[in-house]
Amino acid sequence: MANFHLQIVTQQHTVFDRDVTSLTMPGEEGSFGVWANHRPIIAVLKEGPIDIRIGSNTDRYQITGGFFEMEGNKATLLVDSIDGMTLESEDD
Amino acid sequence: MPENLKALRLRIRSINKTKKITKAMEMVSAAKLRKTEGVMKSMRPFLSKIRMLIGRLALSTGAENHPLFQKSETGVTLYVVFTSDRGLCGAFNANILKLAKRELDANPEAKVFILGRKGRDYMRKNYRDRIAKEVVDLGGELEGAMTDSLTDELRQGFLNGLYSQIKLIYPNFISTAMNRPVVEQFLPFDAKAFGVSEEEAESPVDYLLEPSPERVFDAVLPRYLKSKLFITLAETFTSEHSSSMMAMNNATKNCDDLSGSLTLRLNKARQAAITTEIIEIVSGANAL
Repeated sequence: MANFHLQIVTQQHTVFDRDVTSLTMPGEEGSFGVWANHRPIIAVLKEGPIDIRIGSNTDRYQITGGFFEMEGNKATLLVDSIDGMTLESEDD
Repeated sequence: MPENLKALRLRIRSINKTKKITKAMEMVSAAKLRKTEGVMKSMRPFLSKIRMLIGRLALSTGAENHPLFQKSETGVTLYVVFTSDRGLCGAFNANILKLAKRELDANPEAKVFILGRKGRDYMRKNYRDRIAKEVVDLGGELEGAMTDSLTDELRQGFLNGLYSQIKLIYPNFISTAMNRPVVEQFLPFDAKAFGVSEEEAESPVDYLLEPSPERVFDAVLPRYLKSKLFITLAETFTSEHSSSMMAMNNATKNCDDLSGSLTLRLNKARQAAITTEIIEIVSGANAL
């Protein structure tokens, strides 16, 4: 299955930076998902859960709002804060 | 000259004490510097992403129509000037205030929003009637919520036509040994300043904006302003600590030099005293 690259950036850290299969997130007018080769999109997100799917694995995290941008299979998720993410966190 | 010897010893001792203090202050500044520099650097990816986003947004839709992109017809220019609360950081504040003075003198209508005690004292003395607002006791520590209310206030002031444009004057942190005060446009947005390449400008990506272009602008732009103000503050603190570290480093070196040359003088004086004494004894013995 085709993958796309996802980067999740909070104000202080890049918390996620790898290829994923799909991403579901809470848009202002309801939850929506994107897969690889989605058309360019910029979306405003509200508070709620995001589901990151890699292969057949799905992980759920909570965000408190942010933006999603995707263009040419490169996606960026800018969030105010994200819960349950332990990856690559580089706190001192 | 026995009393001279005593005075020299006292001076050397006091200089060595001063040196201990400046050394300690240097180390304190170095520790604070590491901390704020870390915060500042960790924020850069977020800021550059959101800048890129705005740059593309500005191309893809009728961004020019958004109020935050338009220069307001009414109101005056506001300069937001970032200085430090504390001194002992070399020419740090003087450099910023020199630039602020030049801008204020060139725009006699402009008002100033001053952050930091050093800057406030200067503005109260020289531009009393031009101060729009002052904020002191920032504490040199960074907190997320600190700039949020500030951002809202500035944005409201701009949207209400109080300010025609808002500019930031702050020390741009280049390296530990160098920072340079700069003037930067804060509001309205200058679409060209968001680093979009020419080829991108010619064939803009056709973004789908969810839920609506207006909502996207209303959500993204204020978020950017908050981050921008926060990183500017982080940059001010980082530059302040690095300037203070350099100043204290120089002071420590000066103490070393001074103490060295005074020790030399002390030794010379001591030897001269001994020589005189021996000559007196010898000539006394010869006289017998």
